[in-house]
Amino acid sequence: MHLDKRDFLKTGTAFALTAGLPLPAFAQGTFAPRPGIWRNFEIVTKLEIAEPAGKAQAWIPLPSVNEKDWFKSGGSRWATNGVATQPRDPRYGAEMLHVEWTEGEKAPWVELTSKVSTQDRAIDLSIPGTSSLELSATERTLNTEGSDLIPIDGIVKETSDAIVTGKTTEVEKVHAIYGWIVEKTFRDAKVRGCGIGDIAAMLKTGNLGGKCADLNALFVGLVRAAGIPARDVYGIRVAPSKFGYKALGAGSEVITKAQHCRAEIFLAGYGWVPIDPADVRKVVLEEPPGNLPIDNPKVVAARKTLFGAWEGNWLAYNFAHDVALPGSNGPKLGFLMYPQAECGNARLDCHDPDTFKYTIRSRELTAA
Amino acid sequence: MKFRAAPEVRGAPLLRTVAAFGCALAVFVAATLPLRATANAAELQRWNDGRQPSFTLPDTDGADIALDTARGHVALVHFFATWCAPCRGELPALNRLAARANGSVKVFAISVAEVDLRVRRFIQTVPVDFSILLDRDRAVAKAWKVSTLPTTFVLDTDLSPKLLVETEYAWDHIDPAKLADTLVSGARERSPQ
Repeated sequence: MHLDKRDFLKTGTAFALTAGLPLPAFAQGTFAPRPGIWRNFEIVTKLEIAEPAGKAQAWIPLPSVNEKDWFKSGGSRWATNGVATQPRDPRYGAEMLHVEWTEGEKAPWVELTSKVSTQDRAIDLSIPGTSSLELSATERTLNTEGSDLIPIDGIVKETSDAIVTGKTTEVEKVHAIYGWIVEKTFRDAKVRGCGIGDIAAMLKTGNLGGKCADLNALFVGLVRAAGIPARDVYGIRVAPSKFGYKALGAGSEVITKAQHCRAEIFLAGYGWVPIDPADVRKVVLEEPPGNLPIDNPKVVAARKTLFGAWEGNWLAYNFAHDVALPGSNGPKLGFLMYPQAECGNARLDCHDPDTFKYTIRSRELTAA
Repeated sequence: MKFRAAPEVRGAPLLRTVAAFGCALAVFVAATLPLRATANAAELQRWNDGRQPSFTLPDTDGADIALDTARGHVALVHFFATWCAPCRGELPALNRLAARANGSVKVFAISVAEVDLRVRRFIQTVPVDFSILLDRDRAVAKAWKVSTLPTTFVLDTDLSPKLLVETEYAWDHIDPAKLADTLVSGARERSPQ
């Protein structure tokens, strides 16, 4: 049977409508987030600690970001058989739910419900910016200094200097670093050995593969080393991409493993600008059929769009680095994006479902 | 360090060309393997930092273990992580080396930045007779200037680091007595492949 192109597109449309799915926007060749419509979500986290030994406690990140143009944290409520408080990291303002159970509690549990509102962001850096937003001296220091996992001296500074050589404006410098991340950060099987977790080790070992937190930390570190404010934004995907990108959205209402770190840079005249080179790499690696070439149209579109824009299908928890967990004797976290728990003095493995079970579900709410 | 562009950036036509040469190259590599393996073998390098770092870290049972307990013996300080693929094969080899050494070589394996329970579960599957220590916040790894996992330091009987290797190493081919002599003579010790 022969189908010409028009028949094929009609067939595709009919199928999408029948399935109750939106027509994939990428069929039209566009990946164009546009602000203007707020979306509201309810996120429910259920956490249980199996086989608790000693006093158990847990920490769950709460939505702590409030940015008038794109994200509102709408408050949280919870139920638990422990005692819950809501401490706040003093440096970055990251809030968390801290639950403590009495020693001997056989089945510690907590259920947390949070509401957020989010919308797309898009800033055109090709036209002069008109924002009057400025960073205070404290904010500028906070977003240009190094952290435990993001040093900005030594090899990080050397690499940043080499990337931005010949670039004069801040936009040019950041764009060069963005392109470097997109083109260089991949898992090279010939490189033996693994870094110890900070971005300097990534550069020293040449092992530049990693997850979003690694790649966007490297981006933020290189930008900070160039003297430009930058920050990671730690969060979780809450809905599918409406632009047809399977790799850039949550696949179902269960978002337990959908954590994702994005990044921002601060530019005079524009304010905080959304950037996400890690998601460009995710499109390369995971957008079906996988391992796409860099000149694939979906990769090209993602690379263009994710420098200055991102989709509002994601919840922003916080901007925090080097997070101390109140009540814990354990080490600080490089970032707080996953639930954490301890039994006695032993921190549990947040990736081990046998001892530390949690699920996170997302539901989009209709407008009030 | 010069960083390569990702494979997909370099283009499909190049990959096809490389594939065409690959078959012929494989024959060449196989024919010259002994020479090439020797040329690319991991080496124990002299550690010229001049410092003499130390540590006291908890083991997986919670007991504090100090490097100083090895004074009078050759010591191996091995930094690793359970999630690091090149690391996993080394612990059994280090265990065999310690057994051959019959007490003259002390091994300390330090897990870097991992939660305790993950390490405990791992060593249940890879049992060893030496201490597994927990560097939870990377402080010791940083003090020893470790960037890569696995990294192993060889210390003399005064616990002064003399040699290091920043990749996996074929410990099964090491003679403990010869290792001690190497620390004295200053000769490089190659890992035969």
